Amino acid sequence: MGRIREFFWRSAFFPRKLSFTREGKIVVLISIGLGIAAVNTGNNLLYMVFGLSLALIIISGILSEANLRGLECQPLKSRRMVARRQTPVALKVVCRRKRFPAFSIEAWPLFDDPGMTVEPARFLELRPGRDGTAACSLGFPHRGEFELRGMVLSTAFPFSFFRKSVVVPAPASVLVHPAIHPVESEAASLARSGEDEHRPVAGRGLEFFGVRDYREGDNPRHILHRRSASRQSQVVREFEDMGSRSLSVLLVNATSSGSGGAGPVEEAVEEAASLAVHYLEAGEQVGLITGSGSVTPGSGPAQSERILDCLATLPVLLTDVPGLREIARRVRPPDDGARVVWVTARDDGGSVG
Amino acid sequence: MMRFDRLHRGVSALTVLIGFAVLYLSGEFSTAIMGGACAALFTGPFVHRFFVRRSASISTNVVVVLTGIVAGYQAFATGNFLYYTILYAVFLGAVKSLMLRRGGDFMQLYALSFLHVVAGAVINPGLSFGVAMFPYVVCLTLSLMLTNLRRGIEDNLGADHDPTGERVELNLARKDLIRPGFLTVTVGITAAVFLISLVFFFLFPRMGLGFFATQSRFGIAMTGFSDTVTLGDFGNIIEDPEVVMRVKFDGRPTTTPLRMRGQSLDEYDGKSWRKTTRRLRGLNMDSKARYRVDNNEMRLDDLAPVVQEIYLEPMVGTPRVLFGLPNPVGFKRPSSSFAALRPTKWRFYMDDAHDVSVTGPPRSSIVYTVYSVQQSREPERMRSTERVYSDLINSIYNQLPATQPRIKALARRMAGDGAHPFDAAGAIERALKDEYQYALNSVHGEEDPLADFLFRNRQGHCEYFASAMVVLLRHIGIPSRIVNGFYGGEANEYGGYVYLRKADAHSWVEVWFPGVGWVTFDPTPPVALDLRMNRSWWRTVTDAVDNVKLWWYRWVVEYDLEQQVEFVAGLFRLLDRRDKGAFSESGLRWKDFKKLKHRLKALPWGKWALSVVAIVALLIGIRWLVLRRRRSSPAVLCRPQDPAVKAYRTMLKLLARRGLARKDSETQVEFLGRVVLQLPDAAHPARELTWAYLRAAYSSTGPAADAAETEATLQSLRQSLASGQTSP
Repeated sequence: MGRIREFFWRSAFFPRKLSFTREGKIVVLISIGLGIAAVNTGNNLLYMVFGLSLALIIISGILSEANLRGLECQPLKSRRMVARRQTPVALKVVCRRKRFPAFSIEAWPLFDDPGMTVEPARFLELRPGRDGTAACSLGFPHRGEFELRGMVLSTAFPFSFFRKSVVVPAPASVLVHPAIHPVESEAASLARSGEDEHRPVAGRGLEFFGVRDYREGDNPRHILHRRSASRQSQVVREFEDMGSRSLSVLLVNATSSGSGGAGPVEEAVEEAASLAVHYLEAGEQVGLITGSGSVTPGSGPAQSERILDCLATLPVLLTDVPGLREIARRVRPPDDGARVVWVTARDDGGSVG
Repeated sequence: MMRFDRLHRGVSALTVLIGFAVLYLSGEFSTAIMGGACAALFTGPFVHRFFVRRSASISTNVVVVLTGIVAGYQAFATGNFLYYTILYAVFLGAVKSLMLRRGGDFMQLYALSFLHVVAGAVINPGLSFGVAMFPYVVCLTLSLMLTNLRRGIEDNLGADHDPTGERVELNLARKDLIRPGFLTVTVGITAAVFLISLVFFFLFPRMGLGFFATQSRFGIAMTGFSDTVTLGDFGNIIEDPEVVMRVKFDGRPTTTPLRMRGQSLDEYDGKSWRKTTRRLRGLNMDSKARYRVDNNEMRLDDLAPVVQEIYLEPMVGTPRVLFGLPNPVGFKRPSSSFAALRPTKWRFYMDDAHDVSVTGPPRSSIVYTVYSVQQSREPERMRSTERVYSDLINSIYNQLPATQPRIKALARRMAGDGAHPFDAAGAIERALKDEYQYALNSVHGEEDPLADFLFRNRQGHCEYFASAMVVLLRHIGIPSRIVNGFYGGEANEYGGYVYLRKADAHSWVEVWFPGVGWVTFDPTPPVALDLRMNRSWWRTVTDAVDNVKLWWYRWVVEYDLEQQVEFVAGLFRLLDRRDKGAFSESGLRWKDFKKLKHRLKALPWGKWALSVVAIVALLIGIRWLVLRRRRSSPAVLCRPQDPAVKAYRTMLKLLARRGLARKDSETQVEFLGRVVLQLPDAAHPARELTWAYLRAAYSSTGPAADAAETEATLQSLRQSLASGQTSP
């Protein structure tokens, strides 16, 4: 039954999705019983009550359809979420009708993942020609990239017998970052070792440090236009950070195929994300090195986004022991003497060293 | 504007109340039971908070279960399952109405209320059900919509995570939740529910395939129309106003009183009358499907009969006596293409006394036509009849019990010696009328009630008068019999028919005259009959109600496949172009609409449909006019009572007096510019008043302007205008 329902919801062949509420099921059962009783007994008053129940069902269907007409739900603006946490998202629904208001409207984004928890945005009344904004709460079960199929507009108006929904296609993807949790004091203190050795790093200082490719969040005033023109891509000036030193989070995103599966790696990913955010919030320059890619050190909210984006789509590599060694070899500390924090997957959870 | 919660609870209570009323009006449930249920219904809004407590909820569940066990036991013990099931449903409805907290509780209450109405459809086929259905649909629709809104509020505020329910209650107490738009939608939905219900009702095929098919109406219990009638039985029904039959004459003005003959009784045992001529035989049908009662060789149409169409209410017992004017010669049922398909067919029978009865579906009404011929009572002709009777007539209609000899003496005294039976019958009739009094509740001895009536008490109702006359006639050898039927009736102006009630039940006498047949005599004093026909001022209302009741029974309760086919065929006839063309080829003309109107009226529901169409058209017209007026009238800005709006209008008047009137083409701000230029002294207050006005007029959500502050500004303007100079 659940698979049929899933198919029904995913199918574009059925533009309207209809589901019974508990009361709706009772009403349908009563109507069937009334119909049988009326035909069997020939009691015209039972026919009359039967007609009333059918009329309520039909009106319910027609009005729920009419109630959804002329409504537009603006696409989801927020493209980044956090896993395993209910995130409120503002949804705006516009009523394009000229005369009649819409009542009891619910709206939410429809994702392909069945494990999602969605608390829809509710609108008691949308007056003609007006719009309304309400909060919808989304809970993603895990990190990764989630495909958004569209926005759902739904209503149980007028009698709460059925819930009729319409999916407005709005294909997009949402990047779900790993869950962030408070960093343990032990892990935080580990990164403070080796403070005496200093090497220049890029940062917010005044001295020229070097040139690198433009990244989202960089100050546009630092763009080197001539050089960008000659290289056919935008490059920016980097400055030496005099006040801080860089720190790299090293994450081995692999585990042996015989161990406890991807779970420990996922925990390690969350641990790495939490550490990175923790240090960035503390004003450090943080980079990320994993077995599948790296993020050069940087600071500020944009760097936090970069690291979390990388961690959101980081694959979990399941391999044998030699393969694991190879991956671990790839995840090596940078040569610039930056401090490092190792995060590896263990069967009892991520470990920091 | 009412608070949402109050409105919702009120409408819900009304919905359930109508369900209770449908059950109560069936007469099956006592006032105490339904009064208790209603008391719970109206107590609910004040005590529902008490049931939030877990202990109260558990206790209620225990009570509900225990009551269910008791009701089940009673149902099995008495065999009255329907009664106790409905009673338990009423109890559940009453209990649920005490604990209405969330939207789900309300929905459960409506489900119970719907079951009450379903039960009402089974036990209450009367007009009260139909009358209750209209407000029920309105209230149920509104209740369901309000519950939908309530659930939206609860879901919005996360009622499941709000154990105290304070936030939800605060929001439900709002007055601005129900806007005019919501009410308009509700009215539209209710109308649509009605229309669709009606369409389903009329078009859902009445297949009659039921395994337990029964008619839903209960038969009327009528004493006096069975094979044995005890003297005094009529006294029990003679004050009952329930309508028994309705008579419509074909091509003849309706006159009252009517004498509707039922059946005759021939054997008297001193206390009760019995029918011994019970042998039934089927009636012959003529070429026009009419059952002939007489053995007359003449064609029925040549007898110039009085044709009466009779709608007879369902009665208990079978075969059922058929009524008609005296001397019936033929009976007929309305023709039906489906008659052959009926599991129980209507069959006419006649007994040896020429009384006609019918067998057919039990407890259903019957519509039939009776053909009666006028009775000739010319004295000359009657006196020329023989005094010799056949043995059969003598043995049946001169039978007497062992009665007191003084009755015979009384008969001779009243009739006079040697008189012709016609004169003797007339004399006894007159004597009884003159010397005895009509009384409904007279008491007679059980040993010989008739002798008690004749010699001691000398008062009684029609049965005593008729019985006395028959016994007196038989004592002097004149064959006679007592006849039970109805006498009286009231003409219904609305329906063009005469209706007769149980209270019109009557007994009279038929006397046998060889060569003529049975001739009617009625010894009951006419004053008494006139008194029975005394009408009150209430009559107009009762006539209208009876007409609606007849319509309800014929077209709703007894609506069947035949009527359905007739109805659908009528609809098709509306569009039949061959029938002289519904619409002419050259387009619609006025006479086409007239044709359509006539055809609609010819439908069984035509008049009602036309009325509904007219009302709907009227409402649409009024709505259109109101909208048009709104559009054509200058836009009324919101909050006209706002002090700022009032002050601005005053300012316009003051400035106009100073020769500075605002032009139609000018906006408020443009006008302000002109004021500033021409009246620099008044610039400040004019600016303040103009912006206050604009805020009040175009911002419906902001607070109203401060009256004192506005008045002060206006005063300042007045002073400026009084002292200031106008710039050129």
